[in-house]
Amino acid sequence: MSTYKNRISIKESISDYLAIRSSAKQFFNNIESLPALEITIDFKDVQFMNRSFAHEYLTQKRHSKKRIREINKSINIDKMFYVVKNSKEEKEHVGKTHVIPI
Amino acid sequence: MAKYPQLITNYLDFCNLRSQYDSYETVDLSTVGFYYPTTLLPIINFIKENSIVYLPHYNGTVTRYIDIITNPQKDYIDRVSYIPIEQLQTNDYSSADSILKRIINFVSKEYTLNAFSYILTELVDNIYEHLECSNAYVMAQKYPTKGFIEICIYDDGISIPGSLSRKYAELKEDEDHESIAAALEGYSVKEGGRGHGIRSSIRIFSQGMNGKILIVSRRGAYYIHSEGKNFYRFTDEKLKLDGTLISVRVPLDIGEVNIYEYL
Repeated sequence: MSTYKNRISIKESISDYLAIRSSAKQFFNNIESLPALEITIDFKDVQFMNRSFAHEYLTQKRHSKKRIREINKSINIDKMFYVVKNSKEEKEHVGKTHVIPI
Repeated sequence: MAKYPQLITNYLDFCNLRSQYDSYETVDLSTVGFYYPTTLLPIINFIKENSIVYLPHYNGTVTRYIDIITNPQKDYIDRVSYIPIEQLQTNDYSSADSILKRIINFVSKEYTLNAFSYILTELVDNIYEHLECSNAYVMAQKYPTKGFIEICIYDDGISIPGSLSRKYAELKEDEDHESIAAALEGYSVKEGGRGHGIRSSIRIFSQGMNGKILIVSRRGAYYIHSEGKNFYRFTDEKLKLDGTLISVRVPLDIGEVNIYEYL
């Protein structure tokens, strides 16, 4: 993990494509092991983040004992965090009207 | 004979090839004229996992294609129209990174990166999170003349019904399409807030990109496209899949897709 004055590049730690939930969990496990109480997560050069990763990131951040802030987030990263923070928990009805036996 | 969507018939082609082994202890690849990923990926996995001696296709072009697809090349050239079968290391999620980037670069000329990146990464993440598999594979093929890309992801895990039935005892074993529906509705064995990724991916693909999606898991299947959806219940045990297969087929000529409209 690359650190500089408690600043961590998430691109260097994980990838510029943030996609796998488990990688977010592992990322925060590593953060929790650091001595610093305040951590800055640098999203510089992150190309993409999917919803599952964003959800796990925010979940882990909520449970973290550290004070965490993010910098250099692109518009799309901000948008994805916004979408996750404003998601509703309700189930979505898919409907199974057409069931074809084969 | 009933007329099914092509992705379904491609899956049935795989089942027919697989069932040959039960009768003849071999697989004759010549019985399928044209191999789409939905057929090729699971049958190649079946052949390799069971160390089957198979009969190659009579058509040399098809045989060469199968040989290329099943032998991953590390250095792709720009004009290559496929991603050969790649294995995802299911005990090491970091291995997915290079494969995902390769596929995203593969489609980058045709599609808004965000749309395809979103869908592909959500499907792959699902494998690591839920399906407890030993093996997972992905392949992709462009068909410029036919006008679409097909991507197929297959894993030999516990299946969607197998996963959900651990938590939801009311899901019946002979109604696996119900489990697929439940997963799409957001039911999960994990804690809250799950299921959005796969649901939104399907919305983006079918509505935003006019694509077609097939999900096969154990004895059920789900097929969706822009004009509708169907669930399938396999009454023939020969159609059962030990694991989960997801195939997506997307037209090449779509424009910009704003994924946030579907999230």
